Amino acid sequence: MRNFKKIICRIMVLLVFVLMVNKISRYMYESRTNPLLLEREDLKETKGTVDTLLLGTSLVAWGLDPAVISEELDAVCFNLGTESQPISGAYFLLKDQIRNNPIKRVFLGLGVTSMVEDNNTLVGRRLAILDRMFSPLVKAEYMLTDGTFRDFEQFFLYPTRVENRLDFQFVEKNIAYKQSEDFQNKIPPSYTKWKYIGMGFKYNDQVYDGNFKAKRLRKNGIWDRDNIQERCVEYITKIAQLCKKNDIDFNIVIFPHAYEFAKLQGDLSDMDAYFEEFCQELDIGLFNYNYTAYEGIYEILPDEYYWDRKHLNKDGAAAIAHLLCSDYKEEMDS
Amino acid sequence: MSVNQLSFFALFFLSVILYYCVPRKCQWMALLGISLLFYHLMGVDNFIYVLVTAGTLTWTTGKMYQIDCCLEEELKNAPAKLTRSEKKEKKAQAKSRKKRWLLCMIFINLGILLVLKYGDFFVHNANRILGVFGIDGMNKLGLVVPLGLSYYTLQAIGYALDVYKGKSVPEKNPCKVLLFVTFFPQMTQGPIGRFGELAPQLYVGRTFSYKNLSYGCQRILWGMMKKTVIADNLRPLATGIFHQYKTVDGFTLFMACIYTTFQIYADFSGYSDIVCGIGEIYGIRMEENFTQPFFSKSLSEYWRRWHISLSSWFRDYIFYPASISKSAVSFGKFGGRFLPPRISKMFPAVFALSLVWISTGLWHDASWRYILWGAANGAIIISAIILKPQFDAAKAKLHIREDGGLWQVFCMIRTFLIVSLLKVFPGAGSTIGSLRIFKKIFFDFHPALDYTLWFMDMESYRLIYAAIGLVLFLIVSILQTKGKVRDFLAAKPVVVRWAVYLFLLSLIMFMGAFDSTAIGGFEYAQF
Repeated sequence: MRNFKKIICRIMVLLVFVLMVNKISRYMYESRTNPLLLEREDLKETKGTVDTLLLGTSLVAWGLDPAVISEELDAVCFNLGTESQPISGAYFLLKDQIRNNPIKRVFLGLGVTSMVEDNNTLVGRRLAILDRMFSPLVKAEYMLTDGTFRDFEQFFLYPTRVENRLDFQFVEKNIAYKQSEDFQNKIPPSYTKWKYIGMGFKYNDQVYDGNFKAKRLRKNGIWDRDNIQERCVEYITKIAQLCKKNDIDFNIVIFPHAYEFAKLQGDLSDMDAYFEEFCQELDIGLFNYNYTAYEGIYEILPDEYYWDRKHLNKDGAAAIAHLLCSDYKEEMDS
Repeated sequence: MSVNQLSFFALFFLSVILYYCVPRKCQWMALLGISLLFYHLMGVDNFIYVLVTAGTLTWTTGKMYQIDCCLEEELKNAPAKLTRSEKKEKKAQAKSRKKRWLLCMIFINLGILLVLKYGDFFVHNANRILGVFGIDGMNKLGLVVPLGLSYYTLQAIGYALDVYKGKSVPEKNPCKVLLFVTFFPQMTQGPIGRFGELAPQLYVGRTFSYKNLSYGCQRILWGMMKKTVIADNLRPLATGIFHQYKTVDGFTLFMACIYTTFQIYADFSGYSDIVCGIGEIYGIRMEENFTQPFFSKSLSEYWRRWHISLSSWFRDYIFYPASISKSAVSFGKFGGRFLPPRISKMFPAVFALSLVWISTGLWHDASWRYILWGAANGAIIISAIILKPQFDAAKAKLHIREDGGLWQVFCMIRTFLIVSLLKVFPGAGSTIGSLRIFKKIFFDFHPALDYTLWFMDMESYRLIYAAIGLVLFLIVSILQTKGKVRDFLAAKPVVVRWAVYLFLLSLIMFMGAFDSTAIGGFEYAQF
């Protein structure tokens, strides 16, 4: 018994020490240019109030303005989109949010590659999701389901994520920013390409010049029904079931791309047909803004509303949010 | 899964709880279950080879023991007193029967090792020879070598030889033999355990000891520091320079040899520390694999301090039997015809040493560069033995005192440089590559103070981390030569002890590189 007490005591000391080192390390090394810094503050502040959640890849993170949705749907909307967010990650993010917020509505943004490319292979993608979670149980479940051993190391021992710990200038700038009023007011450092509005939404106000270098797309960049990954289907189904269980209205939003680019993405009418059938089967709301499904989408979202061939800019994010809200209301009314 | 991963320690923690919670009689079974689970988690799906090894081992050692017992019985119960020659004849008959079983065991296990590990090497070289005569080559076997095969095969053969010589009483329970072969901390990279020392510890039941836990954790922490802070930070530097050997000069390549020496040592000794620490927590003392090898004053001393379990295996099971074998004696007689008696007397030892070093090279990898590496080590050691009188005479002429401090430091540096230079073989990716690197080191060597030549375009912070780890490691090594550091630490107040532990933990967290791409996370796992 004496040994047992001794061991527990030492384990506690060790845990406290590791947590302390993690906290200090995060404060020193977490880059001031990482949008997560501001998003996490908002996530904490709005805990318990968010009822509408936006999930998905960078298409959502950069391209769907939660402020417009909040205003038009009279809701509290949060954008939880992350770069190349795997659908499994979206599922666990939702699971975590359900524990912390009275979620009523979910919009999952998808593009051509979302179903044919499982973005779960990169540690960074998974860590971006883990860093946005609150509940330790969901975190553990996500790591056990989707994670690797490196996730454990890098998530629990934050300093192991930092490459050069001797870049003291970087540390100095990070600390200076975190102590500044800009950080309190959620204004990102002036030299970042993006701006932060709040509620997880960062935007880019550049305008797409219409050029893209890759004339030939990767295989996964072209819609092909045969390439659909079972894992993606499995997790959308899981999200649908989770939403049904918690009485949440689950919707899929298919994001458009700049016209010249979208034309190279294969037979998008087949993609429309696939999602039509898929969403009907699972009783999911579908808002498809592919040019093949939504006639006149490029009049609403012309190339000037993109900042690159795929992602909407600030105006585009607001425009698609307006469009989505009016379509959603219409759908609700009918 | 590798032993330097957090998930490994999480599972290990659970396994320790299980081990101490089950009744003492069943602890070995728990250990066997844990070992097989870990072996599977380390990426092995196919248990057939370890089962064959354990099976043949139990069977043949049992047979050998039976022959011994029968002989003893026969001699005891003989109706009339047997004459000396009759006894001798009976013993010889028994020995020959035992030898058959031993050879059977060695044939099966070494056969598996030869086919799996060296099959493609033989096919590749045979194809080259056949190609000279315009004959079509054979297809490569492309077999997967199971993790730890080289280690547990030697361990199993060592055990069989011990039983053959009557040094060990064999274990009849095949599951216990399987545990001896698969004990998880040492299975993939050693230390290569001896049955007499390891097995009794595995089978006996024991109660939990806080001291063991504390000492084991200390050892694991120290091993992790070596692995993550020194080895994993030096690795990209060393391999990066060797990969670009065509564009860098001899001096930079020589520096890469030094980095590789430190890297491999920190990697392998770090692993051994972790493994010994794990063993200590279970209450099992495993063989030490290193005793400050960089303080060696000669290459042969270095090999007595480096990878001790392997070098002692080769010494006991190849060197000693080979040096007194008929072939070695006739080799000596052959040498005596045209060489001075002093040198011809050394022939059996030279023969055995050559055999040991070629085998050591081959054991490391099925490639010519490792055979050359073994041959080079052997050649240096043999030359040192043969030329000893000349060296002694030269030292006497130069008034060099053997026990002088400066001379000893010189010898240590000399040994370190030789060892480092030989790291060209494992460092370079190919035999031709290693020969070209040697050429550059010897004929294109331009020492410079410009640090960019020392470190190439690698991230300088990695070097700083490794240097901090190396300084710490050097201090501890020096302290170890003066006494037991762990006992010294244990005598300190708890606050001091924990300050040291937390300092080490911070070093690992802040300066450890967690991106090793080596097989199993450790260099020696590939052998």
